[in-house]
Amino acid sequence: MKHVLIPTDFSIRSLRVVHGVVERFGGEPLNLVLMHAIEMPTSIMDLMMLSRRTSHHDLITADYKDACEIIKNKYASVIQSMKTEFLIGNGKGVFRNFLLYHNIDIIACAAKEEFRKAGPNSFNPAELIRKSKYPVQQIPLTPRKEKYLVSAMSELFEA
Amino acid sequence: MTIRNKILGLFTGLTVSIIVMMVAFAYFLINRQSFDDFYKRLEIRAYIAARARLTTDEGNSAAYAEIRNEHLERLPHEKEYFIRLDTIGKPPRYPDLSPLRSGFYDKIKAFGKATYRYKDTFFQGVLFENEAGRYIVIVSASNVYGKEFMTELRRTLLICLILAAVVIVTAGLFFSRYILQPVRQITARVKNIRAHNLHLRLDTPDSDDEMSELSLTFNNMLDRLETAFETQNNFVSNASHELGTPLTTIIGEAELALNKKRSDEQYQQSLSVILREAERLEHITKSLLNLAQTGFTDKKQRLEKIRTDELIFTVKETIDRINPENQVEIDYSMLPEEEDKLLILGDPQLLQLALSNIVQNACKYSDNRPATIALAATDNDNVIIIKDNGIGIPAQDLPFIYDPFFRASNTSGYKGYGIGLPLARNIVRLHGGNIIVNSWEDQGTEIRITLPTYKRPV
Repeated sequence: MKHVLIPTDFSIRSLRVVHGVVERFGGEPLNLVLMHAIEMPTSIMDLMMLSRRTSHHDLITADYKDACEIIKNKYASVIQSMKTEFLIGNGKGVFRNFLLYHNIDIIACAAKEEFRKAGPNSFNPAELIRKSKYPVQQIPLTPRKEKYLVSAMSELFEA
Repeated sequence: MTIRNKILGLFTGLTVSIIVMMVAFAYFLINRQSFDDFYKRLEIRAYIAARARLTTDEGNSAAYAEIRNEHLERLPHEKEYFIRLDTIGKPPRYPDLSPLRSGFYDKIKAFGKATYRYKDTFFQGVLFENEAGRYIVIVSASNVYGKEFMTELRRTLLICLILAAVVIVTAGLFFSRYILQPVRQITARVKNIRAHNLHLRLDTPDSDDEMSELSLTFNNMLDRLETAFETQNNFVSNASHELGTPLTTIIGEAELALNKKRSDEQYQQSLSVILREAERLEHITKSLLNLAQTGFTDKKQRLEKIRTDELIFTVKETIDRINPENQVEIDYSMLPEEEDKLLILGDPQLLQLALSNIVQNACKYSDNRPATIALAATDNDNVIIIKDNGIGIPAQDLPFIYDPFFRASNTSGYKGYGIGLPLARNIVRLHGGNIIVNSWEDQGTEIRITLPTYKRPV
């Protein structure tokens, strides 16, 4: 049983890392945690309402949800659980706690990073991941020729 | 009863009843106040009378009598009664005091004073004590001034009330008129809209009140009506055009063949042209029939369990037969592990028809460039994605792609009737699914079809 953390920007493309993860660690059951990092709000009001705020949940698109389900169905015997979590705050301690809480063994990132700011508060967790001293797996993604249909579901497919 | 009268009645009733309540309350308070005042006056008179009459000291008594005569005006019907309390305590009877009950005397003995009112006569009794003995002094008078004042007050209040009611009814008339003004405007405007001037719209004032919301709703409804009308009109004109073209060719060809004697080959050629056009005509009418049939959603359906991967495979075979040069590939890379997730409930013939229509389009409009059919399953749906690298659909044409006989502006080089996609959508909708078209002109089209997965009854 391995717990793998995969950073995501809620694009379908970011989910393709899962293919590589399953390919590499598919021998044992996997628990995947898809992490999206957002900054800690700076206004006192936002901080007080942080636990009740759901605005960052709106970043999760219906396509992304569907794509998650598709992947989970595809690798039903390997992927035990697959959940999307928010990392709130840009700090080493916060990230370490997040990793401990989710019991992460390995972090898997796309070899060639293509980060897209999903929301106004999103940030790229690459720096945190580099500093965390956790084992990081670089997953190469096959380059795709088409540049159009950015968020469309077909990103998920290999062909 | 119109809304206007209801508003008027409600408004008037509410306001008038509030005013009546206020007036009644004010009258009651003032009435009580004037009683209290009058009793006070009677009480002072009683004490002075007692001192004037009962004081043993002659000088004092004369002084009190003088004060009384000089400064205190006699009240109307003012009378004084002096009752000496015997040792037995039985008071002597005066005939004028008959309305007084024994409770009145007990109260005087207990508290030193008491008041009583009989019709318009007010009684004030006090206890007076000096060395000569204990007396009850009672002064009675009628409160004429107070009565006059109260009558005056009553009249004033009543007049005010009537005036206020008149003002309120008038205001209510204007008020209800003003409130319902937009409704009457809308009614008048909507009455004018007929089938021939469906482009007319209601004015929407720049506010977000209920009335402008109502106008907006009306306008939206008119938009939909107008679109439906236009679609209907387009359909008829397009259909007659599409059906007319092959007929014209057939008639022309037949006339040409018949107008003089021809060789056998010429007849054969004419006949084959006629046959081709007749087949085209048959194809169009068949598709139209399909479209019409699938348009009725309440038709009883013959539903069976189908596996979507098999369905796609059949579609691929059909395409291979019709168009051997196609480069359609099936992408099974996202297939779920559980086969049950690929089961859907549907009519296999109809679904095949819909899918092959879409896949044929993908081949046709991309000149047989590679295209893919991909299949995947979410928890609730089967997702079929058909993607080509063809000419795409211009963005301005996208809203109309489901209109029967509509053809995008860049399709002039390709044969087609514009029935396939509306038919496919009707079929997918029949199965409770959804169809989404994403397209970029000159780059390609991606059509995503979702069909609900069959769930085994638990």
